Amino acid sequence: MKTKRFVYLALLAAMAIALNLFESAFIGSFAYGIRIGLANIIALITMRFLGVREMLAVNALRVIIGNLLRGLLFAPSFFIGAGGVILSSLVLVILNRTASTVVFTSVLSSLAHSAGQLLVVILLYHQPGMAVLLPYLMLGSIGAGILTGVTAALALKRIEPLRLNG
Amino acid sequence: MTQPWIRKREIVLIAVLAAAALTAAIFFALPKQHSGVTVRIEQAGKLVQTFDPAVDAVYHIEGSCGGLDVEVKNGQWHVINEQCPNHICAEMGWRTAEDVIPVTCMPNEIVIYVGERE
Ligand SMILES: [Zn+2]
Repeated sequence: MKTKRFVYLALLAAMAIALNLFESAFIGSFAYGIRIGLANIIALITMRFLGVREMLAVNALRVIIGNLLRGLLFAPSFFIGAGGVILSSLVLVILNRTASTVVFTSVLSSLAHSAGQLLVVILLYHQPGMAVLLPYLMLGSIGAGILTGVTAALALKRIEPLRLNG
Repeated sequence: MTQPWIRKREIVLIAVLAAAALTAAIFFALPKQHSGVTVRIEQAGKLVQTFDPAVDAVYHIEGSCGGLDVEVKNGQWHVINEQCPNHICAEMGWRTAEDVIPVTCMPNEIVIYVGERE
């Protein structure tokens, strides 16, 4: 069922982009630029439901199309976002090889997302002093990671019947 | 999927990370010394933040155009990560308590100026 798989992938990518735009428009960021990262829910679902390669595709599409739609492709925010997504995707790939649970995976990938963004900010603006934000970002990421992880776990339970046979 | 949502040892690991972050956050938030100078930040005519330039920190200020961050270091401060079209605020560079001209970001309606002196 190659077509079905491709349709799921396209749907998940569209949902990730929509959640990203929705969050930017209606929720925005809290202190220190902390965001919930709703699109991470889709990354987790995609990895558990379709696989690692599909998750990487959804994440790449999310960053590129998401920034394209906001007219910010290759703007600083694009590189900051990309830094976060690359590092969080890496953590997802690594944890997928272990027996980690959805919520734990979500928390660690959320932490990696913040760390990746902060790293790009520090390099882009030559501001090593920004590293003092790390503890606050970590606390925000743990909270956000639990939230997105529980949401992803709930969603995965519901979509289980849709799973492709083989 | 028979996997639980989260395991005990994963909760322990997350708790350790959270405790470390909290400790570091509290450590950074501790007041170091006082300069006797208070810098004020206004947004749309309202006081939104004050800071002591002797305390190194980064303050995020929400603005009409997406806001900006004020980085304070070694008794000086400047604007970074500004979400404004002209970036004049950041180009004003590092300011000290001796500076009379406030740092202004018109698109964000943010003004950063030296307030009280003891
Ligand atoms: Zn400005």
